[in-house]
Amino acid sequence: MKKSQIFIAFVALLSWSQNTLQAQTFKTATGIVSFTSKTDYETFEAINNQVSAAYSKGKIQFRVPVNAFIFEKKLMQTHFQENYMESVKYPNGSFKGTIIYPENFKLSTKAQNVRVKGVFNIHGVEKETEILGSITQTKNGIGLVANFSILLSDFNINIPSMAVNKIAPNIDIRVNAELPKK
Amino acid sequence: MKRILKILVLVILLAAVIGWYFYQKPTNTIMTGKPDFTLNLDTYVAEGIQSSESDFNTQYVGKTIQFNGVVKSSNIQTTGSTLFFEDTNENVVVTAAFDAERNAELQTIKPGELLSLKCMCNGMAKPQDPDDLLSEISFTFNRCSIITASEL
Repeated sequence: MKKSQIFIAFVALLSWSQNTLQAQTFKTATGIVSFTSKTDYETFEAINNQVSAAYSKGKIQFRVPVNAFIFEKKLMQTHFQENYMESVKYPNGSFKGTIIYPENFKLSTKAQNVRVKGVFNIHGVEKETEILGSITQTKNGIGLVANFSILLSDFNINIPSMAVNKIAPNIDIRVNAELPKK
Repeated sequence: MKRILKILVLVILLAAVIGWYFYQKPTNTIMTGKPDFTLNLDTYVAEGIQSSESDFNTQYVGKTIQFNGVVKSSNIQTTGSTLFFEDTNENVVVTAAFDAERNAELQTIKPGELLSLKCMCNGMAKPQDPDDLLSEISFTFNRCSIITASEL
């Protein structure tokens, strides 16, 4: 086989493997979402390590079981589940979006900043938004990281006047998920 | 009059101490007390598949559930760990989450092992659209503990 033929075959193989990788679906049921509420009077955090996440061809989806958020204080956990998030009525939050920047996004072992446009569904309220994050191709799949804020009032989450000084109107959310190939 | 004032101050102090105690009480890492439901995982999953998401979740979310299931795999993390359970339907994912303080116990669990767990139910989620990437039906539990034979 001539050198040029070997080169063409190599390029074709590389292109095929790259296309296969881009078309691959990555999924997890153990992603992590945590949040912080900070006011002058009180700071509290909660962590959830039962987040389902999926990525395929520039599309991203998250599903967050509300009751899986663990707080340090029992009373705050109870208020969060029963009064603020009404978790029996709305047991899951979700996000479904598409990478809009960079255009023609392709996975890479180098962490890439991305802009994702999509729809949050929290507390039964849908809201279109854009979030910033980064995606890295890893040995076993991909890693997703994002930090953003949401406004509680956007999702009809009402904080009683007694607790207004203790709960921030803006909640800082951190997402960290490793998605193996499926 | 002085006596009434003293009693009043004492009552207020006592109420403040009780209030502070309840406010500072840490979250339980496991579900304690009698379970609301005791069932087999296969039956629970089959009921979920046949039910509407809202009906099923209204019945079970936030409840203490004791169930038997066969372990498929485990994911041990410093932030807390998860056991995945077998189901005959490949489109079903069942996860039970444990506090990180139970990691040593979970590291001894092997795939194929039949376990009895007591957990809080976090409900079921079905795909909402045909093009959902999360195409599985997921059942999640957390604040789990393994029930030993002597506790059954």
